[in-house]
Amino acid sequence: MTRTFGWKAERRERVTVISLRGAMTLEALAPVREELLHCLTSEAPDLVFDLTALDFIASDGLGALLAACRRTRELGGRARLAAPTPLVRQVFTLLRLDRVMPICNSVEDALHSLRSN
Amino acid sequence: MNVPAEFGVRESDLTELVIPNELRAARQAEERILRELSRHRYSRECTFAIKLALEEALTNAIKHGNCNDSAKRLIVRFHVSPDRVVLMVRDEGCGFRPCDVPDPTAEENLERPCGRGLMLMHAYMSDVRFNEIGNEVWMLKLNRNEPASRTPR
Repeated sequence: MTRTFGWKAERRERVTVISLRGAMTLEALAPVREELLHCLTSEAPDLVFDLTALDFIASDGLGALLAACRRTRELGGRARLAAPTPLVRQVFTLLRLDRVMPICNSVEDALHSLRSN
Repeated sequence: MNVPAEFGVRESDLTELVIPNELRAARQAEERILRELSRHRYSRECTFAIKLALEEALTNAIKHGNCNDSAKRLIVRFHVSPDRVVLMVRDEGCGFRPCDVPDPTAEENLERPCGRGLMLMHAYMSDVRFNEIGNEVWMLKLNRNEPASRTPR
């Protein structure tokens, strides 16, 4: 529940997949907020957040994900969330953020959704 | 503001921490409270809810209440027992009116960068109350899996 926050980004063709892990608190987020945006490029404008290993997110983390989603749209891409735990998924659905960033059950489902739309 | 009578604890039941207006100090206070939850074997779901509400209250106090001013302080009071958790966070700011915070789930607000903390606190806690000026929040979480060890007064 209190694993240290970390993230990594990888390119999957036109998609940037950002994997988040641990607890996304304001303190953990502060040093990496800008880096998250900088890894988005016009070569891979679509974005998938892999939330498989994300234990916790609060409103500042949500704000960072929304900022990345906006950046993605500016680049002509679309954003998806993949594989959140039930507790994390509930935060997104409660706030209706799944309307902004649709939730998929896995990274592969998210990639398929981006390919097929 | 004293602890609301309906929260079912006495003033003397509360532990008080006075901490600097810094994220690291807030995390240390949060970890202390989470250790108490773990000691009382709160469920994963309940712990998530309390951590989320506490994180939102502390973040609001540091950023918006005390305006990131490191010369200011926060006061955190808490009580953890098997059947309930009571939390209080007070900043040294001039407060706010909760009714002025727009609904973050309204279509036009969905992508706003902030404004979700208050709703999350209400959604995940059993009761949330602010003092008159809005610089002090009290939150109650009842542990539904535990029989009440104390009748709320």
